[in-house]
Amino acid sequence: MATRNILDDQQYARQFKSRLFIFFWLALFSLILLRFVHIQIIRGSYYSRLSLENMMRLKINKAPRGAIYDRTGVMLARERPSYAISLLYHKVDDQKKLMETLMRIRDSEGDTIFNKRELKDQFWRARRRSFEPIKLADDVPLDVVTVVEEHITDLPGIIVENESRREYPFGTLACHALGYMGEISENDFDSMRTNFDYQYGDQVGVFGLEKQYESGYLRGVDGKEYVMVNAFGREIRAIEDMPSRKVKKGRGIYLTIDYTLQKVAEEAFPDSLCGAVVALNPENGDILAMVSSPRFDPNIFTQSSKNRSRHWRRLLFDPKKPLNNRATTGLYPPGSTFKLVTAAAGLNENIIDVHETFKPCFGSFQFGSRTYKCWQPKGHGALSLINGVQKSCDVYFYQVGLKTGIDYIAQYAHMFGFGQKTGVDLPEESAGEILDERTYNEKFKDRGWIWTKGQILNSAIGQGQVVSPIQLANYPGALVKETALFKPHLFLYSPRTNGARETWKADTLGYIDLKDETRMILIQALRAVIEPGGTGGYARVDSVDIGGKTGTAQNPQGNDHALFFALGPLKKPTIAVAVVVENAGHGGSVAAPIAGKILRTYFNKPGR
Amino acid sequence: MEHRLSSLNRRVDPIALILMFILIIIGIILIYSATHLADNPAMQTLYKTQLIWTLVGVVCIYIVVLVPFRFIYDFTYVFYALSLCILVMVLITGSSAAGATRWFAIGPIKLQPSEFAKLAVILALARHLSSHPVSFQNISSFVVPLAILLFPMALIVKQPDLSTSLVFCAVFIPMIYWGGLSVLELFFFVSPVLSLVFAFNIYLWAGFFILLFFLLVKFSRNIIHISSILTINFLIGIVLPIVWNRLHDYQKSRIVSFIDPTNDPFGAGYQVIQSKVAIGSGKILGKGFLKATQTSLSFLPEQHTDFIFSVLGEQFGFLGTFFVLLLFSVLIARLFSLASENKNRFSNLVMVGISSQLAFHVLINISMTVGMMPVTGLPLPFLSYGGSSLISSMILIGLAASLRKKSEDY
Repeated sequence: MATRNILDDQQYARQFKSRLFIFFWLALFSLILLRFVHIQIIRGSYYSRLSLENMMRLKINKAPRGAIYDRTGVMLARERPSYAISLLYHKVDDQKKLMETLMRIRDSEGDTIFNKRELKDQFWRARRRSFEPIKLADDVPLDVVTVVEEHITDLPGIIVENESRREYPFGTLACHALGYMGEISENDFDSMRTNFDYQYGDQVGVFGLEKQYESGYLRGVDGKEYVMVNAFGREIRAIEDMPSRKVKKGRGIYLTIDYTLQKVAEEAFPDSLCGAVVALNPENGDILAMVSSPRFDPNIFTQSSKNRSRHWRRLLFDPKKPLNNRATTGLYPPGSTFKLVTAAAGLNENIIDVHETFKPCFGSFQFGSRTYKCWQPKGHGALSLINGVQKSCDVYFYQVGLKTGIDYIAQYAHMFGFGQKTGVDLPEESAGEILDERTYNEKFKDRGWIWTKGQILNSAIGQGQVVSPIQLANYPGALVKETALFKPHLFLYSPRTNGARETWKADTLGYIDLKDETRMILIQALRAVIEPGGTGGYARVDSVDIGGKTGTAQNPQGNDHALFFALGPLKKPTIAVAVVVENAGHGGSVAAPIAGKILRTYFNKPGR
Repeated sequence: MEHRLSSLNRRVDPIALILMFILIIIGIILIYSATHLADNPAMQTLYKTQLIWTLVGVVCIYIVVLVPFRFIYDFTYVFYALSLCILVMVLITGSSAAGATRWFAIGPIKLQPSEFAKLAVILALARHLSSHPVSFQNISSFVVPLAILLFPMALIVKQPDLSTSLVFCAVFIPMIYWGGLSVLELFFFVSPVLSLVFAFNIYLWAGFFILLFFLLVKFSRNIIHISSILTINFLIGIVLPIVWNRLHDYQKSRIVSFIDPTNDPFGAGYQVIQSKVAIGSGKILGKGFLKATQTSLSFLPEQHTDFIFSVLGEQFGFLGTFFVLLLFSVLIARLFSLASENKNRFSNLVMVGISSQLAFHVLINISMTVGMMPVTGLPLPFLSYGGSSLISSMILIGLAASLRKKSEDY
């Protein structure tokens, strides 16, 4: 009997051992119990918060950006739906296979959407945030989206996300005024997120009106709500008792721009040439058209990052610098267009008389040891002020300038808004420069140049100063009307949520202190330029009283710039146009026809 | 039949059985709450499957209770040999299939042969130790018990399943203590393991080594014992860290991943964090039945199997965890105390082995859910989902609860 071999356990020994086991066991168990006291009672609130954070996700509902309209309600910038292909890494079962499948996807042109190196980077990033969608390709064309959607079951982990992108339906139309969007730069991001509630990857206006009216008008308020999500990031439902915020679409703005006028101005401006056109209403500063040539298509900045970088490089390295808004930042010598400032200064200060004829013009003017040429080598003969302006005789204005003096010329130039920013509601603007004796000496101190009286001659005919096209458009009104010089602007109104309109608050740059007699003479002179015998005949409009002035600015770097401004009706001007065409020769022959087309459209008198 | 049932009632310890059934019912409730929101509809009915396993387990207990003591004692070695064969078979058939080789499928039922190997080792050790006490005076007395332990352990380590093979050690040490070693001898016996633990800190190890030296000199007269124990400890405490430092990083990581296959900061670390968050956020009273966010939003992987205790902690708070901990401690204390009520050394040893195994499972699993132990694949007896674990645990209880009466009959 094998079982007979079993030994007996002694009673005391077995009880001692059993108790020892129980003691040992209970000791270990007390340790575990202490751990539970610690986790559930002492640290309970901490873990409770963690569990809330675990299941809650702040869901951002992107607000649509406000649209931009022209003054008649034509939509110039809007939101369009777009698609992004994103990756949810935790759903990927075979990364290598998925990458290979993705790399086989081609768009309609036969190009692959994904390349291996980028995909690897993106997968690596996605792996570290496996429950968040990581964007693999943005602004994917619809045909590719269709292909992806059809094969979505073969692409575990891939999702198609809806986005909203900025679109400019008329492409390059008014591109410099509208501006464009871009991603927030790394430097700005921290301050923008805390102050303005931006998310990483958000687009923000970086140029033009898109930048100027980014906050308050164009950018909406992103909706925020806390949603309950499961461990895979899937939304279960919104959490009611958490703070939330409704999506608020951007208000949008209506511009002073007139779509038709803008279009005509752009079509009138030769595409091959550089320059700018500004048309505005001198009565209130409304900018009716603003052209800078060459233009660009702001849509490319909201395209997929792949396309974006390609176009961006091309635009950036284009020698014509299409991204510059020449209308506000381009600076040109005003040339003869400045002669009205000289004339106004002389007349208004009673230094010259309207009928005063100086030495007759024989094509040049001798001053000191130097000979100053008139643009017309044949000469103009003896001229009074009206004819001097009409023929744009340099010799006449040399003498007006000399008599009036640089201080008055500079003073009146400042009064008409030159040499300072007009304060147009665009983020980019240059002030230009008006020199007098003091500022000239200061500026060229390093080079050792000193003001000479001969500089007055150049200043009198608009050489030596630099002005921007928008200044050139803003000043003619001041020559003929009695009211103030207004701040030019693009903002017309913005609809408020309650239906009311927030309109532009008129702002003045200063008051024009001109006598009525002076004004009458200037009106006559301006009119004479357009009339037969004047240099600006191309800007004529049937049965409308138009005035203007041509200009040809000498350009040390190349051919002369052609300048022209015109306004009408002269009694009570409602439009003033300034045209600058770089390296194009005479203002009368190149710039004036462009202004003429705009004016005729404005006064609804097409033809010619 | 009437007589049979009443005799059955006399044959088992009712306290242990009642505690076990309470735990199983709690387990089924927890499995339901952990899976009722699962995406996979098959997952949602797991609690029913567990109920079926419970019924199978009850039948098993019934059979175990009816098996006479003599039969168990006589067939111990046969059973042991059989389970060794199964382990070898799993290794061979499993090697052809890729992946884990812990499972052994018979039709739809998947069996974990290691579960049966554990019982076989307990029985075989108990039978040997019941007639051959171990003693330091007679080193050869260790040969057979160590062999009984090491054969199946080696086979399971090869699978590889380190945590299960550690269960064998957890069973072996209490059993050889019961089987004749004094506390001090046990200390000498496990000193190499302690050396390994202390080897991470040279001062700690030095203190331990000096203590060991004095104890050995004071209580042992056998110079061979003293020198061999000290040598082994010295090798482990000094030489092993030096060798370890000489290893290349990839060699180290191979060893680490062998010892702890789930040593993955993203995988297992994530589980433990989520488990702690679940348990901690239950606070004192819990979030309420089926109101657990961590669980129902599936932040917890393996929540119905290895991490079932976090499901409990989140829903029922500290009161719930305290109650279940209490049930476990009373059940296991009861099993240990049963071991002292009889002079039959074989049945006592079996009960010590069974109690130790269950205690080890409970300790390791629960400590794992609160980050006190590394994540291992050990399920929580009675509560975790899984037929193999549930049925084998039930058989163990059935055996332990009936052995005392059986040996009294004998």
